Amino acid sequence: MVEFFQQVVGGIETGSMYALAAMGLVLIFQTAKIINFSQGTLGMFMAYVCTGLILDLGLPMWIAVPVSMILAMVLGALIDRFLMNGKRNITNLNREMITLAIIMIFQGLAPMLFGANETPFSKFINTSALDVGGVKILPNSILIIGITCVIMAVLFFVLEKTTLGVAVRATASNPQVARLQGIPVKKVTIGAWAVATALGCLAAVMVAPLKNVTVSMMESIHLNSFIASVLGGFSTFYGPVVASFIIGIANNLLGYYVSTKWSLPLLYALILLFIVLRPNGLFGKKIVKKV
Amino acid sequence: MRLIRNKYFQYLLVGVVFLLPVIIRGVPTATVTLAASMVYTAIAALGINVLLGYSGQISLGHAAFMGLSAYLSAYLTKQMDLPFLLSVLIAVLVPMLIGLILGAIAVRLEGFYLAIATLGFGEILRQLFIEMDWFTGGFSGASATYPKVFGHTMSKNEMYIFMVCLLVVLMMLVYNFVHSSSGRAMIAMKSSKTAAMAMGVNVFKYKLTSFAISSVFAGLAGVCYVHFFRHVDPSVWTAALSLNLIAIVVIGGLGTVGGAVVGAVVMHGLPELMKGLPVVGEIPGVPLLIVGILMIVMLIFYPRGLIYIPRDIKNFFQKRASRAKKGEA
Repeated sequence: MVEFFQQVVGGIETGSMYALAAMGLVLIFQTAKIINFSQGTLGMFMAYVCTGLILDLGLPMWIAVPVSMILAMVLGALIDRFLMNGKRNITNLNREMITLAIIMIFQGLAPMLFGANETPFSKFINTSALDVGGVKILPNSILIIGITCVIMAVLFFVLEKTTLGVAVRATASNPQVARLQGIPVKKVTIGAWAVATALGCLAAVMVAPLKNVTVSMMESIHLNSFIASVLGGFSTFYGPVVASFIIGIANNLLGYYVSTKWSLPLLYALILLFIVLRPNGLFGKKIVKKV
Repeated sequence: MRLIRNKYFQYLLVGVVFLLPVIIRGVPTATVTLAASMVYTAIAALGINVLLGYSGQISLGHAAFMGLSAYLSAYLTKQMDLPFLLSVLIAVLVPMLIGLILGAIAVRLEGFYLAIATLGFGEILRQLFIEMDWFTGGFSGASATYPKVFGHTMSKNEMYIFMVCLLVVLMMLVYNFVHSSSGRAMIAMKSSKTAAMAMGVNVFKYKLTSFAISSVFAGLAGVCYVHFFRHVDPSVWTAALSLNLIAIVVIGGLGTVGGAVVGAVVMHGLPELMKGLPVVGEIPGVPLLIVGILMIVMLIFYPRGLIYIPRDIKNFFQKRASRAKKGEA
């Protein structure tokens, strides 16, 4: 039973990284109606920037991380303003292809600016593991889970209880009607891009101590957050977050009780089956299309 | 002039252009290899174009189909000693069957859900490639030989010629297909599924057909890959390749036969061109950066696809000519 909880805690930790990335994907999907394939790569690039701030400028970590998140927000806003809304007559599929091009640009920029070597990244807290009834929990994991919970709470509070949140939800349900009612839809999408890029940056900084800072560090997180968004249903904000934790925990449990090699394929097969049976995800609603 | 407008003649011309590296003497073998990678990508992209451009379905699993066919063909010709043509047939039929299953799934799913379903499928297949090392050779990969047809073993150049011929034939077949009643039914299904159903189009049948066709094309591309490069390992067949195929189709021109080929040439040619440049190619990362920027420029200024450039140039000159005539009058 101790082992079971040990795996669950590990699952929650990875799940919270997936949740941050998935939240970013869903924010952009809901407001701009495109999938941002470059989310993981932008996060990777910002993790490089963060290591640069720490190692070259000598900033302490608690300043470097917020600073790089703010830089990420600026980067996201610039991308939306100049690449996504630069010209009007491009389709959403073209916009998604532009995010693919952004992947290339930043995968080219990262080794150019920061060198091709793997850079280690220290944990936020380096003290040894706490023992809670036999389950060993690193304080760093508690911090990661805590930060994720706080950010999610703030985001959901803003989305559900404030005027700004109403504007975002109105844009999500129908951009044209929202524009007619005086909601600045363009500003909403810029904000969504900014927040999403910052979330991706935070997820990357959290993974960095586990995997070192490399060009491919965000690949698995990006893939799993994408899958979590679909499993939870792209039409809600909370679905993907819940699904992220489910994927994190299920992957760990399958790895421990079934097989470490086959845990991920098995998980994907289960998700595939689930999507086929419930085509709109865990919490998704069916959107009726008119001819 | 009429001959140039004839599509079949244009496709033959494309084939002749692709054959130039073999015909002209003294072309380095690296050029033939680059051209071969353009050709096999173009074959796969043609299939994606049928799927995405004509029938409006998306798939992120086709790279895995290419890999599956490559492994199957390598295994069948090398370990089982089957003749090349028979092994090609088997290596193409298996992905087609899996494509039919995906097509059946696609009947229930749309858009991103379909993308994820196919992505999951692809990732499962890729994990199988890594783990089933008796069949695939695991991480180090499997090797294959140049194909042997009717007692004659092909050389590298002959294999390349075979690939180009295959590409030309496939382009003609796709052109015929999309101008048939089935093709028109698919295009109707793309613009509105409900309206197409109301007009009596059997959506189930055409979704299955489009998935089957694109899987067959992916399979053929995989067979070409493994018998030209004579080696296959699991690092190639990732979701990134599937996304790349979609990018190729979009950049070349969605819903056009030539678009897939133009896109494949541009997306494979540009990085090599950049690597060959004197200063730019020497700094790591710069070629990738420039290709990314060019891709954005193409997508923003030519959102419909590069295939339309000649037409736009022609229109531009016609406009100028007509304006000049008005000036004279």
